Amino acid sequence: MKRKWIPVITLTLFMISMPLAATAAEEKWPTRPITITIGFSPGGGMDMMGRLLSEGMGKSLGVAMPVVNMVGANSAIAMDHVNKQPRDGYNLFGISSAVSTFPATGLSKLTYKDFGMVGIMFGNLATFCVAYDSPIKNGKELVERLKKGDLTGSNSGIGGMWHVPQLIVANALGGKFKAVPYTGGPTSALAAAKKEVDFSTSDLSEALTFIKSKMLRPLIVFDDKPYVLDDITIPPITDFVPTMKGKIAGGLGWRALGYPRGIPQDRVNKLIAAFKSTMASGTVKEFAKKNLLPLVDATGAEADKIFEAATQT
Amino acid sequence: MGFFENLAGGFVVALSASNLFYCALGAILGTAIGVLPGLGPPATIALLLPVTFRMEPVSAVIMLAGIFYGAMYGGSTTSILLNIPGEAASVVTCLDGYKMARNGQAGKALGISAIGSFIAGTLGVLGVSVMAPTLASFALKFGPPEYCCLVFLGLMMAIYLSEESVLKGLMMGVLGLLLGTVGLDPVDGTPRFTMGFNRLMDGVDFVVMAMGLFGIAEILCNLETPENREVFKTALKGLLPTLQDWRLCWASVLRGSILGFFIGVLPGGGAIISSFAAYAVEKRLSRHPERFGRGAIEGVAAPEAANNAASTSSFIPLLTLGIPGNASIAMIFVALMIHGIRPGPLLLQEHPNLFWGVIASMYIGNALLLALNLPLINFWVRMLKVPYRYLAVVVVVVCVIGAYSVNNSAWDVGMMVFFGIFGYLLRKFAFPASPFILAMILGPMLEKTLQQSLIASGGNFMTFLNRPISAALLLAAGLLMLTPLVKAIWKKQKKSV
Repeated sequence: MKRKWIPVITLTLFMISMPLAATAAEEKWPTRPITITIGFSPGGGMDMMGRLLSEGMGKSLGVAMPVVNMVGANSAIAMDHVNKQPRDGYNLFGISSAVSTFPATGLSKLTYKDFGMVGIMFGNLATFCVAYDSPIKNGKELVERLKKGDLTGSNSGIGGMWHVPQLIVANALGGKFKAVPYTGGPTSALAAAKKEVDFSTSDLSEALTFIKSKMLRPLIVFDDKPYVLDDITIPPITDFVPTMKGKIAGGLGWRALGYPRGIPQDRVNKLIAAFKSTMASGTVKEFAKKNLLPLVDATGAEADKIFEAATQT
Repeated sequence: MGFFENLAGGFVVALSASNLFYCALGAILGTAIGVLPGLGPPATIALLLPVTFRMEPVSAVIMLAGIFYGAMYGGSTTSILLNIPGEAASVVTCLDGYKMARNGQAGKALGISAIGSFIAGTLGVLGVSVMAPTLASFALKFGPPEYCCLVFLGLMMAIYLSEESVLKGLMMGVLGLLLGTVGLDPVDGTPRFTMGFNRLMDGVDFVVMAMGLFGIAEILCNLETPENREVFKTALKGLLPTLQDWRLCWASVLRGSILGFFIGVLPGGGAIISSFAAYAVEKRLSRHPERFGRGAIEGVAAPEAANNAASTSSFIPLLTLGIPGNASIAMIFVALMIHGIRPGPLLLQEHPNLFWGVIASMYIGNALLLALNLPLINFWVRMLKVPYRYLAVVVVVVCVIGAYSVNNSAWDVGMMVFFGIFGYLLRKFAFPASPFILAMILGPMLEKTLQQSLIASGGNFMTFLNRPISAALLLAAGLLMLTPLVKAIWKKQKKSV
């Protein structure tokens, strides 16, 4: 019941500290909780990333870092909200690679020019799967059918993280497919297992349980090298679409922590340092290993470049 | 290993001192947040999630699950006492529960909802422990066409929610459907009816709207007629349902439990749909349907039983398929993932202790919740003795904080006030609010599943009739649609004879 008051208390503290923040000496930062706003619902990959960072970075910075879920419009609502907050470093935003589709979909005008990166935490492995007993048995057959253009494919939402690699592959092949949006990666993977669609695209980790219980067959990973999963080797898309060699980087998805530009650089540096120490922790490494999430660990300017490149493809 | 050995193993896990403590903690917290409108189980579980990082995975799930089903017990309290649904699933409880409270039967309504919840919760756990693997394959048979038809059937039930005029009920249903289209198009992502407000891209938040339509509107109406306060004279004796009441509603509790259990297995809105459906079924079966909406005890018992059974069975898709069916279950999914346990078809083999431990804890949790909630009834009923002019202020404050906490935004507070005034106007002109709410929840689901079905079938509407489950659901919806018509003709013929 006490927790009900947290927003109120935070707000009050916020109002009291506003005039103080302007005069406070810079070396004493942060002095109050830093909010991480996540534009997706609790339970998703972005949410989990936020919670891991909240735990690790909060400890290293010595303040609480509450995660706030502000769901809607592929996180455009949350991004807009964070953009309107004061530039004091107390408001961070979880950036997924779906943000790079905003200029194309028109959900928001905000881009890498408005948001900088603290760091990219996880990459992901878009995996194309079919039902285990589907007539399509391998990557080659899937690519042929995509060229023919008579397949339906599930994803977690139009313009979302898994729709992007589908589009890139279809365009590179000069083929097409009918995209059926579901409400998240696991549901998208299950749709193919239930044969509601011909193939699914989701993170490998999201399809894993269905692959292991022989409901799904992984055919292609969206990468330039094969992925070895126990006794299955999943071939990369570049094996089937040679024109995509060297062009994968921009389409690979990632999950990152960002900030609205305009925050004093020394505060950004403190955030980056805390991010780095979190990434080096055992908790994060173990989590990534257990959930098959590739750790990216690019921070600051290096991460900004990846964000910029993604938006331009 | 046999079923009983498994369950016994589960009880060994659940009865350890620490797990018993976490189970009780979860149940108490759940009751508390269920009583408070706005702050729902997903938000609470999210706040507590960091705490679970350091707990044993099974303890973490036991506590979080306790919060989730505990909230279903608490959620009915404000619905009955103040006409404010504490939880989405207790909107229907407002209809007759609040009327019962105004008739001086608050204790009875709270009692039947606590005991009904206990029976349904226990039956639900029993169902989960016996049938979980079988039901997983049932849930797998539900694709977009089946969902679409189920939602359509749910919409037909809106007819039974309108208190007086069916025509007014239908009008409100259509208005609800229209409001449900606000936000991003589910397929191509085009913003619709957002009028340039970013905040409307995700549509109108249902909890906020329900608090306004029911709670704020209620207060406005009561302030208009000060003498209304007299109605809240509640007899403290006769708190618990009598044998007579039980005779009236044992079958309702049973029907509600069964209905809730099966609908709850389906991911997405199970508890809400099942509570509406249970209410509609009771009203349909009752020999005195005119009592509904005026304080019928069955109208409280059935939906409360349904939402508890549904909250229990909603663990099935999580534990057996790895699909979180609602926001709270999604948070429990996260808690497991953080521990490196991925729920899914292999969970039962890989982590039998976790699976059976959680199930066993639910038997214990439900018993604890009954023991916790029955003595509280006396306290809640006494609260109604507070003069309404004070109570109203407290309620408004609680609602404002609750609305703010949903998304941490003042926008939602504004929306709540807007819908409060809208709800007040609806009452003035005697339009029922519940079909509006039902349609607004179901509308987006109907649209999305319709589009998914049609994209997958290449635009062929026969997909709804070719699949046995969806065809059966459509048939049921058709019959439901025709009953008022047939009844009307029947009456006319009788008259003319």
